[in-house]
This record gives sequence, structure tokens and C-alpha cells, in this order.
Amino acid sequence: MARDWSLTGNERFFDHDEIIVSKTDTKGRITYANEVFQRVALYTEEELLGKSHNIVRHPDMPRCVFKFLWDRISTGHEVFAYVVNRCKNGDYYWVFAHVTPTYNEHGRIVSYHSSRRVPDAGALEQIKPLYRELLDIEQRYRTPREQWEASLPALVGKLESLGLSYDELIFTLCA
Amino acid sequence: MTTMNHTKPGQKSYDDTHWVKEATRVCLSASNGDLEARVLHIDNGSKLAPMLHAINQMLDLTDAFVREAGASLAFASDGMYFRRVLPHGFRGSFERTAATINNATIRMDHDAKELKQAQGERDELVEDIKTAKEVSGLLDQATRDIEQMFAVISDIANRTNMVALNATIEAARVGEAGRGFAVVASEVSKLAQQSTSLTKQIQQNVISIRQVSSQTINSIERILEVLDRQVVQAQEATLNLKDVKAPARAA
Ligand SMILES: Cc1cc2nc3c(=O)[nH]c(=O)nc-3n(C[C@H](O)[C@H](O)[C@H](O)COP(=O)(O)O)c2cc1C
Repeated sequence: MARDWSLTGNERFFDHDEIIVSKTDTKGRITYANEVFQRVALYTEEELLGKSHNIVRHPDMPRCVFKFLWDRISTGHEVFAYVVNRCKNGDYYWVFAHVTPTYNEHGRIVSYHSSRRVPDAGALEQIKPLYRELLDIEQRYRTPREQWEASLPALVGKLESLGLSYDELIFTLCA
Repeated sequence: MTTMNHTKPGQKSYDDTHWVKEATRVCLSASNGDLEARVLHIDNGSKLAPMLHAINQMLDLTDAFVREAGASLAFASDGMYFRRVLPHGFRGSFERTAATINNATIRMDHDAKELKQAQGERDELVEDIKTAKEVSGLLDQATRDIEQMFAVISDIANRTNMVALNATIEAARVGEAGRGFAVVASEVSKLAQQSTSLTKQIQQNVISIRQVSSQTINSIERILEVLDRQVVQAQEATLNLKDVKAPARAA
């Protein structure tokens, strides 16, 4: 089935005291999506359960951010990311996502969890041009692997030039 | 994990008993510390739907809070204090506890910086004290060298005295002609005695200096021992923190 990438350019919002929650299995297939998720992304629970989380992927997101995200969570770390998502009808919404692994009693990762908050407007002003830059780099390559292999060093380089770890950058942005 | 529930919605509508069972299952696993379970496929036509959504929402917030608080504290126990609990989305007790944790990590951050500064100052102090110990050691060696010279000096004085004595005897033997020479010999003998007594005084002083410098060295060694113990204690405190860290991560 061809992926529908059509976009409307309309932005959707949720409240400051709401969180968008989803859970996935270890492969990233959705096992739970809360009501706020369904309302903002315009999907029903039935449409989301069992689907890969890239169902809400927006073409403006640089691939290396997700590569970084998966590298972090699959090695047991939490990760924060500013993400723009695509609604079912082609609208978009920005979130500040926190993704963490869930462990069983033997300390093994059994699933992932994500809670998303309304992003800070000032932080988005800094994130948007950075993502644009990363996306431009990625568009020079064909395969996904070539793309993130080219853009991830740019992301890391950006952090190094600021003298911050990724986590510190995120917390500086949202402070 | 029990979130997946394979009921096909629309195919069959469940009665209230089913939803009460579902709610009970989810609440029981939550009270056992498993915050993964949720009620899925809620039938919005059921009068129990608002309750079931409320249960999910309560769990979402509790789950998110536990992850946030756990992450902030896990970072803090790794010595990184910039990871604050993000307060957005939390209300009431959640919000207040988030603020309490954040105040604690801000405080830890501050204390850690002060501790680091104190450690730097202590390191400098240790260097200064080591230099003082070295200087005192040199002083001690110098006084030992002087003491060895006393042996030589008093030997010379004794021999001079003997020479003067012999000269007096020889002078007496030549009679009147040796009188002038006898006066010189007795002067030489007096000088030798003066030199001996002066040497003894100086020796006394040098012994005092040596006692003082060896006391100084002892004190410096005790100070260094205390400082070393402090360094070891500080290292052990850090190690202990690493030991308690592990469960915070796996939680
Ligand atoms: C818990 C969890 C939440 C995620 N949330 C999102 C999300 O909100 N938006 C998104 O585009 N990708 C999200 N992802 C990442 C997707 O799994 C996927 O890597 C990404 O959409 C890129 O997909 P693609 O490689 O097919 O392009 C999430 C992954 C996990 C594990």
C-alpha cells in the first residue's frame, strides 16, 4: 500500500497540561495510544494498535533523529527529542517527546514508552533550522543508511561546537 | 506486559462484567508496580467508558511521573545534575513532588560544585605541605651535617690544646728564653678552650633545631595522613553512590 505523504500545512495543538502517551513493543509497533494521541493525530485506537510508530512520521523529520533515538533507547537510555508528526489528514503537530525503555524484573527491555509535551516555542525556533539543515544533507543521498550516515555527524558536530552533550543541549533549550 | 488484548471491536460488545474485570486486572497490576497495563478497546457506548478512560489517564500520569522522577534521580546518582523533572503535564502532588525533586537536584548541583572546589583547594594544600616537608627534610639534613663538623672542630680544638700544652712544656725547658713563647702557648690554649665551649653551645642549639624540625616533620606527616584519609573517604562516598545507582536505572 502506497504511503500517503500528502500535507495540508495546518498545525494542530494540544493543551499545556496534557501529555500524549504511547507504548510500543521492542520493534516499535504501537501497543497503546492514549486519548490525547488519538484526538490530536486524528487516528482511532483501532487504526493505531499493532501499527509501526512511523504511522505518524512526518517527511520534515530528519532520519538521523530517529536513528539517534533508537540507538539510545535500545541501549537502555532515555531520550528527548523535538518531533513534528503527521496527522491522519496531513495536518502536523510538534511535540517534545520523552522516550524510555521499560524493563522486566530481569532487567531486560520489554517495551518502550513515550510521553510528549507541548514544546517550548523558543526551543522550536532553534530546532527548526537545525532539522532543515540535517534534512538538506539527507536529501543528497538515496538510501536511508547513506542519509543518516551523512547527517548524524552533522548533528554530533553541532553539539560539539556548542560544547554540550545531546541531553545538555535539550535541557538548555527547554530551560 | 498485558496491554495487547485481542478482542475485535465492533464484532462483539462486552457487558459491564467484562469491563469491571478489565478495570480490576489493570488496577491490580498497577498496584503490583506494573504500570504497563491499560484498558484497551474501550467501548465508548458503555456507561463504564468514562471510568475506564480515567483509569488509563491516571496510569499514564503515574507512569510518566515515575519515569521522569526516576530518570532525574538516575542522572543525579551518576553525578549529572542538569536533568530536571519536566513539570509540564503534571498537576497537584505530581507537580509539587516534581518541584521538590528539582530543588534537591539544584541543591546537589550546587554542593557538588562546592565540593569540587574544596577538593581543588585541598589538592593545592597537599602540594604546599609536601613542599614544607621537603624543606624541613633539607633542614634536618643540614643540621646533621653541622653535627658531623662539630666532631672535626672539637678534635681540632683538642689537638690545638695539646699542641699548646706541649709548647708550654718546651718553653719551660728553655727557661728565660722561652718565657714569651709560653705566654703565646697559654693564649693558644685559652683560645682552644673557648672554641670548645662555644662549639658545645652551638651544638646545643643545633640539637634544639633538629628536635624542632623533626617535630615539624612528624606534624606534617600527620596532616598528610588526615588529608589522605579524607581523599579515600571522598572516593568511597563516590563508589557507594555508584553501588546504589544500579537499581535506580533498572527500575
Ligand atoms: C515509544 C516510541 C515512540 C515513537 N514516537 C514517534 C513519533 O511520535 N513520531 C515518529 O515519527 N516516530 C516515532 N518513533 C520512531 C518510529 O519508530 C520510527 O523510527 C520513525 O517514525 C522513523 O520511521 P522510518 O524509519 O520508517 O522512517 C517512536 C518510537 C518509539 C519506540
